Amino acid sequence: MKSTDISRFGTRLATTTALVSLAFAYGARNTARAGVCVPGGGGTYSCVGPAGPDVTQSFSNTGISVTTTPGFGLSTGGGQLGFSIFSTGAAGLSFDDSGNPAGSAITSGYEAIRAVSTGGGPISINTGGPVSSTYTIQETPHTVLLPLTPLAAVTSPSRRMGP
Amino acid sequence: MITTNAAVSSGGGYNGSYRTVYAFAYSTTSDITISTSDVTNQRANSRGIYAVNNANGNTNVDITVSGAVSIGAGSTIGYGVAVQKQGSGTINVTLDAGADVSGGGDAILFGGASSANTLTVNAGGGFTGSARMFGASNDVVINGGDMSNVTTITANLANDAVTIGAGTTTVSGSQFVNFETFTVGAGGTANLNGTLNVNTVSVDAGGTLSAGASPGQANIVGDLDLGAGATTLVELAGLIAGTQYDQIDVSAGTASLASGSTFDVDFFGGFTAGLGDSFDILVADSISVVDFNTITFDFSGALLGAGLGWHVELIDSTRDTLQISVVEESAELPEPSMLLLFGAGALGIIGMRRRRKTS
Repeated sequence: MKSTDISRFGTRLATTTALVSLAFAYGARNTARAGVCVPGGGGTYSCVGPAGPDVTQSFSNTGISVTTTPGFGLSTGGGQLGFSIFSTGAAGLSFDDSGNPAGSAITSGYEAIRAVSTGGGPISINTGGPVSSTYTIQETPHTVLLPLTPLAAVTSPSRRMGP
Repeated sequence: MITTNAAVSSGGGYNGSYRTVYAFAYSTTSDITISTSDVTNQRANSRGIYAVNNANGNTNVDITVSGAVSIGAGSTIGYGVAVQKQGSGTINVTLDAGADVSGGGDAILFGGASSANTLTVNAGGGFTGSARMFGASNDVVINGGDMSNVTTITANLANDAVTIGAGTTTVSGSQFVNFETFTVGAGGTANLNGTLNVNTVSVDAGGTLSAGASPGQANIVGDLDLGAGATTLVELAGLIAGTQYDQIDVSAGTASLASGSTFDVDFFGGFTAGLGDSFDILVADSISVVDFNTITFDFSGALLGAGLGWHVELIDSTRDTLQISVVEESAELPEPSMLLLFGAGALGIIGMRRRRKTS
């Protein structure tokens, strides 16, 4: 390689490095700005960053544990869920906001926290901050299922009715 | 007879799918635990917190709220907290300090037909509007919680109980619909207003029952059992029963005064009783006392002028009346016919009063 080529290569490398660094810096700034949950392996997720505009944090596993860190918040709009957590195993799922002493503000355009367990595991949700849904979209109303079983008539033989 | 919850099961066009915190399990082993601070659903007729387990198992749902839970303005249906559960197990909803739950139809709905349901309202917590409980058993425990914004809590009657736990709680009898028992436990004070229709009102040792938060009227349709160690607080602010002084009226039942129970009589608002004043503090279809001499009347908060004393009398009339009146200390007892059973007991009370004044 000629010396001029080496010089050009060095210039390109420096330019590329600068651009990549800039991109990383931008990305890092974006990551820090928005609320997002980072996987930690084994179905664990740690949520960091203040409320953005954000996107739905969606997780599906046999067992899921979502925790928050100080300063975390989440804000989704446009009919998006805040959290969608789906467990298919006996370990179940948990959302624990105790890692954010101030309490995480969670705002969504749809359900703020949807937690579903179909594998026999427990569901645990612990929020410390304000959780709200704006429901800016319209949906076809669902038919309520409550209660599932009609109650039998109940009487009390010792009951005395008033005058 | 309580005829189910048909109104609840209707759902055409209901916006029940709109919820803010939603936990859904379909498993016979999945417990659900939810603890929240503020939860807001800005959509009308929606739900704030909604927990569901549609599998027919022995599972538990525990929801603890320490903030405001509300749904959209103008809601006529929908819930602040709603639980829908198949099978046995338990549903517990606890309102801690800071909790203020409101909804459209009901603030809180226990939708488990076979579960043991408990609503606990702790000091500093409360809800606005109504709650309905449809379980196999339904208990309400109030530990000093705020009931001032509660319209009704409706249960199924059989095995359903209200317990006033530690702390002072002001409630209206009409707030409790279809409960079998109402118990004031140790450390608890129930300021009871209005008409309470239950099988039995019990005041346990260490518990206090008072008609009204200040002089008021408490009507109990059922039995009243004042147990050993129980206290009935009687406030006197004038001569008109139910408004100026406390009166408890027991109808369709018996008022039973156990040995060791106490009536704590206090003047209120600067009032002082004078000679000839009388107060029917307990009126009942029947008043049962095993030994009147073992009932304590504490007049230390209702001291009279010189030469006057309190006279306690159980009057047998169309309805039994426990009456306290102000007499001259040298006054003779009324004619025996005026006394039901315990003239000697009443004399003893006067004597006790005299001893206190001279001590």
